[in-house]
Amino acid sequence: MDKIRLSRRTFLKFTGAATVVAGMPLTAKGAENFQTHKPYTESGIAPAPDKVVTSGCMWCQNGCSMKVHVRGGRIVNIYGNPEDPVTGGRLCPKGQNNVNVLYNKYRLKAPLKRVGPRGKAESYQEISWEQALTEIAEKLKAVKEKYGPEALAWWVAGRSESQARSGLSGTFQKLYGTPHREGTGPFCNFSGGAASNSILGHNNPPWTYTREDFGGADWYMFVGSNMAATKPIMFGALNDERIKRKAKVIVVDPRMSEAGSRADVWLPIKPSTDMALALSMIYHIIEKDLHNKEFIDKKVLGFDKLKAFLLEKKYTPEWAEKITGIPAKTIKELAEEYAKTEKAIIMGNAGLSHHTNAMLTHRTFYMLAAITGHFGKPSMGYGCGNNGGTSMGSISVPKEKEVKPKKQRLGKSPAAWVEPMITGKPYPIKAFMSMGNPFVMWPDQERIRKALDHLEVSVYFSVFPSVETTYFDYVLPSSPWTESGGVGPVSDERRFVFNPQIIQPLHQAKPERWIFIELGKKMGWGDIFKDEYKDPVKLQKTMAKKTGFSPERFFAKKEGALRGPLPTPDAPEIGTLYTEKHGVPGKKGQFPRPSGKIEIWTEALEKAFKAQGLNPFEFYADPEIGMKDGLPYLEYIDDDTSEGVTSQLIGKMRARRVKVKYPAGPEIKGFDTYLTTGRPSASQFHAGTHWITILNEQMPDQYCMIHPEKAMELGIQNGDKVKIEGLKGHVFAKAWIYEGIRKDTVFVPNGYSAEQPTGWKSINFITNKDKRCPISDQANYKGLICRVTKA
Amino acid sequence: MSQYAIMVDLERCIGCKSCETSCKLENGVGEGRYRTKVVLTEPKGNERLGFMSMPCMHCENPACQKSCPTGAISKRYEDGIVLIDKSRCIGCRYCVWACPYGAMNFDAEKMVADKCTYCAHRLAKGEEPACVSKCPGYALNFGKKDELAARAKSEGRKLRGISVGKTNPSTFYLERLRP
Repeated sequence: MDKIRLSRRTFLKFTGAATVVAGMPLTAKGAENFQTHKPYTESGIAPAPDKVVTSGCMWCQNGCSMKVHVRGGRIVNIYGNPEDPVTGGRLCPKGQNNVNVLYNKYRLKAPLKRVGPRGKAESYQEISWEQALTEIAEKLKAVKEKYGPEALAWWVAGRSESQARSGLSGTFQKLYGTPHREGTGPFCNFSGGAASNSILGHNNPPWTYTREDFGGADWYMFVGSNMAATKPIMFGALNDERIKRKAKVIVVDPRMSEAGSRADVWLPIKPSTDMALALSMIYHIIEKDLHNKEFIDKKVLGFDKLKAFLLEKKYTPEWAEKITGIPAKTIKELAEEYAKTEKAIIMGNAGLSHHTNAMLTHRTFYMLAAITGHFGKPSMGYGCGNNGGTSMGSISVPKEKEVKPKKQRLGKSPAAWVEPMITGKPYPIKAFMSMGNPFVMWPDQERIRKALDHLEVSVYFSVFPSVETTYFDYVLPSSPWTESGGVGPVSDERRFVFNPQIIQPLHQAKPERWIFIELGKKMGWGDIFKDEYKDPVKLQKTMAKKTGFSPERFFAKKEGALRGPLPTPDAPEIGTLYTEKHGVPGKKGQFPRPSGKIEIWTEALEKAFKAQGLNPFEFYADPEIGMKDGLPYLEYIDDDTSEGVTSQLIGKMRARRVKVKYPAGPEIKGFDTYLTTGRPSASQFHAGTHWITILNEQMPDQYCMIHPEKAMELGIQNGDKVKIEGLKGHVFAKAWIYEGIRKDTVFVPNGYSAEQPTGWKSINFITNKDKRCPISDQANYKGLICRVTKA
Repeated sequence: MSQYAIMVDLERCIGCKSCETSCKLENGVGEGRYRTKVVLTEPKGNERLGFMSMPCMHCENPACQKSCPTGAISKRYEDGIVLIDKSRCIGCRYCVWACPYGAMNFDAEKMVADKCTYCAHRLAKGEEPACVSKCPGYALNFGKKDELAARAKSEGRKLRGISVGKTNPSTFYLERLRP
């Protein structure tokens, strides 16, 4: 770009005297804002930085490196890092608005204690950190004494800094002895990792988010993935590559999402039936003899079992057409194109994970990629977003101090804690700590709100108020990101960005790292929770003693990021996984299953599925959809209060038994519409972004995306308030009449709540916490039925 | 004089609205106001959902300039950027009405008209406009208008004419590759 000369005089003339001009000292206006913590977005041109620090974004699993502009000890703007090979210096709306997480009028300012009835802000009183942590520690000790260590449940949420979230909270868990510490996975995409582990022997997707790898394929199919909104940076680069290289993109989604808007082919599939699509693609590939026999012979186990089952069940494209609504002809074309294109990527995401058939659906797409030989090189394979992370190391706990849980864990999903909290069965949960928004994001909101009354202590860590700050016993203000320093969340492609501590915490907020250390000390574990670990660099040094995630290695990179697995201090960073050369660093073989091959079927796997009443290849839909349409669906033998069986597929925890029911016909009437939920837009990330004005105003309303024909039938106009009634209750939303959605389906976004500035009751008042994927325990947010009326 | 321009590629835009927020952060644009806005074009028939990032058009014949009673709006000779001299703006909002592209917003706090400057203060430092620099889709490009247009044509792209009246906008759009 040509440098444009602009005289200072002209410049001042148009910017006006009151605005802050780049290169000039801060004006009185800027200083005033510093006092009131007013965001810079309201005070003229962002001042020129006196310091630029490389840091990382805390929001999604794109894991972007960023350049933080600091002036006079205050963060004034955020730009992309052009030296980051993943982002190329680009940033989505959320990343750059980390600045407005800091200087935000809604922020929690001091620890709070509940002294009155739940549900009211007036019931809270400010207390000191000393009082808060002393009381919490005493209550946690008392719960352990009275009910045993299993009575503590801790939800560690995904937006927290990683050293605290996956490191220190894990240390705390080992010392306390509870099996109940869980992240956001079971509400996100844990099933993808579980499927990957069961078939490839490792959780991570094969690719890296670079133009050479993920961006380098000739053919893409996105199933249940609106990557344009969920990972805009990688999708933007991919779309750029698509145009340059004329790659083909297929998007399978009941609505034309932002990703669907860029696709060559958009296939509006019926919700919860993606597994049928994958099965029939496999069927057609086998029938046309397009499977990769050489690859299968060398690297795949159980192909014959899969083939026999598909033939027996007649999972043909014609069968799938009736279930999915996608014409058999299209399915055949897709299958043939995929089998014949070497560099072909299929990407799944929450659109597959938020169903009762989550794990099996992901597993079927892995099988599809396996039988066509789509593993072993860059730009190919199947993978799901948010497939879980990579080990960064931890603080070691001496063997004699570690308390091994005596009771089996209640289930993978934190939703499995709710009934034990209320009923005490099969054993009680009496203490609950949460770093996320269970009262916005968990299914079955009505029931969850009842749970806290049965507890001895509940603690909520947060940056913003949200509904939990009027329900939990203690509310602790945590410091976001640059105030706390540490490590950003892991990306889909196993990358972490190190965040230096750039500014001091505002108000009385504290980094979660600080909180856990102080709480650990009060629990009597001061020898392990050392004060020096409050420094993120020192803590990283200790945590990463045995791995390659040392601060020195982070700082040596211009993007401040490292990609795992780095099992040893000097392990090199590896690009594509599951190649003959690298396999998975730190694990044995190209595919680290016991056999060293891709395990589509083994006797052990069949036994593990069978223990829960499942078959690894059998299709079923979500219960509500199965009942509405007469499709096979799951009946649950166990609920969350019964004993169940021990899962052999996702680690040794309690799992529920089920039976696949083949109904004779439709079993439910009066609900004529499918309901799916998900991310509203690229500017939102669940509850947190709604507290950031500049992001909230981009998608302020909980909308109900509805087809014009359906809307006309119901007398609904664009912008009308509509009532959405599900089996669990009803919520309201604003009608968005949109041609790009199936006529029989509505889409309502998640992450809204009545307590937020725009005030919409969460859609999770009508989702069901009990009907979960029996293997991965994922909640079903996307396979529901409802009826819509004008409110 | 060389006319500078933002070239918006409608095929590359993924509708994330990063441009809206990068503009707000860089230029201090408050709640409810925009210097650039992403407009959704909804799917109809065979047409896909589309997005149109709309900064100031920096027109050859700016309607805002013509409407301004105080001469506060001028088109800069060296690069064709249309700027408001806020010290001369009396807050009459004629320009807000006059602009056929909805590019002019009104800052009610300061009682002056406000709009995109192509980040003139960044250009002065040799940097691109904030929105262009952060665009995740590589949909926004900044440079000399004729050079950008020539590049797009050499890549086989069609330009979309959006001129209202005789304004002749400088910001221009590349058609989608398919409907």
